[in-house]
Amino acid sequence: MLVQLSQLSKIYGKKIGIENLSISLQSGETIGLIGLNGSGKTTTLKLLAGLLHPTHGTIMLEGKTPWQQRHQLVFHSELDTLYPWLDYNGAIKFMSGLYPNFNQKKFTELFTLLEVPKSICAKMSKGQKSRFKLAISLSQGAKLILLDEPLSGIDIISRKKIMQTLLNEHGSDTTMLISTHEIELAQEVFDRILIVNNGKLVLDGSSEELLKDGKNIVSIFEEAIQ
Amino acid sequence: MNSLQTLLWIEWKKSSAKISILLGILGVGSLILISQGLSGARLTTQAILLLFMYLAGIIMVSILSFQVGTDLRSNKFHPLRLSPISPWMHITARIIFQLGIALGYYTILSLLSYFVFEPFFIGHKFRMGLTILALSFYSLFTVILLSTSFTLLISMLNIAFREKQKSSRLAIFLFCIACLSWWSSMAEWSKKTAGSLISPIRLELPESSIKINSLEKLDFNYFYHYEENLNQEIKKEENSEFSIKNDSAPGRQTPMTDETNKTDNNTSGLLLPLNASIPLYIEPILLTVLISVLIIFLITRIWQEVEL
Repeated sequence: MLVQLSQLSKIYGKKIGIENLSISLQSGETIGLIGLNGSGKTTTLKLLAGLLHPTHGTIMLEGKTPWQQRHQLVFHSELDTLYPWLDYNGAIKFMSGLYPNFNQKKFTELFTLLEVPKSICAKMSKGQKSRFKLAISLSQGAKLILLDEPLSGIDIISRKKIMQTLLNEHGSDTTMLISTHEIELAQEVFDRILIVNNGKLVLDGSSEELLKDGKNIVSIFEEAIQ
Repeated sequence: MNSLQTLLWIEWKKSSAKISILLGILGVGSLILISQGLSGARLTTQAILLLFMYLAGIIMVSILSFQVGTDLRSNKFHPLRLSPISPWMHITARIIFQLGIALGYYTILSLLSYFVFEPFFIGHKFRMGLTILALSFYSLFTVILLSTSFTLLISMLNIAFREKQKSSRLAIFLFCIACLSWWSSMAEWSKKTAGSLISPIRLELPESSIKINSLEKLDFNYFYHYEENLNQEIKKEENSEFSIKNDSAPGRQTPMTDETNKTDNNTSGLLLPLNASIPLYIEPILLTVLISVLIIFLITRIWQEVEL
């Protein structure tokens, strides 16, 4: 999905969330959104999902607003965004009733792959909930997947499972924008890296170019935010 | 399952705790009534208990309406909020669900009310039973529908203000002011408001055909022109008996054709004549449904703005 952000700004009272952000995302790209805490990563994702309204600027998803294209996008929040009573069967009922593109077969496969228990959400650990959410997010049949900190607070085994799942998704025509602090892990997955700092885009480049000549992603990040 | 069924199922899952509380109130209330002996053994206590149960139903249904706030909060339940379902569908599912719960609750409550007041109905018991049952349907459209949609509107306005939606706020504010101004400009609006809330049904009987002795304070004539009619009739009747004129306006009467139960005028209680008619006014239903549809339209508009 072609995504176009033009002169996008979001101001919360006196605090700047995002300032003059202009980027375009191509179909099939997997993009890493990297930045410090409070740099505007979640704001950008929420603006793209239509959960926030921009103060200035426009967002176009294949020429339409996020709300008009909401059946084509999915927002995976790091927060607890599932009903506590939701379980495997409930999720199938919920998603197939509300999302016409929901792929039940893929959901079951991801559910098994990510080793999510079949108990209700309220009885799951944070990592299990995160994997459950990821299985739901990736099986919605969306063309734009926005993942906010999918690896936050997840143990190393779960991280590997999630990263492997994301790598499996890589190459399809789905555009993925993933915000993360896990920059070392990120370089394995991302085609393109965006670095934001204090609400501004400070670096935009392909992973291949940025990491050539044996450069380290951490040093690139540190240089960019200074 | 289609989207409406799914949304109703979600409402059911979300509200199961609140519905359990409602069932608990109904169960405990029923047990108290049964332990005191139904059939109006302790009428005052039982009437107060029934009134409490009626009010508890309205409050609980209103609480269900406030749930919309948590569904639309920006950090909660994204799969529901971002689903490609129209705001109309979301609101319709909520209204249907809440009305369904209210209908079930008030039907059971009506049956309990019938058993409590049953000894006071001399003759035409079946007819009075139907009247009490009709109360639940009537109050559903005149009180519950309006209170549900209004609570939803308040919740949505709260969300819109929190999410800093600027457009249509002024229009909604002006609409609310206009509604309040219109209502308060009516003569004796406070009495009418209280009357509407106390009882949405109007029982009208032919002149000199009703006698109220032991149930002097218990009648259902509270709606609309009750005050005027009552004052006129009290002036005419100086003794304890009074009558209320039948309204002959077309479409206002539901003719009762039960000719089998004859009444005895010397018996204490609420007596109904052979030709009694119990008209359920259609205007309040039409008015409240119209206002509710208007409110639902506004709610949908705000939902769309919050989602946009």
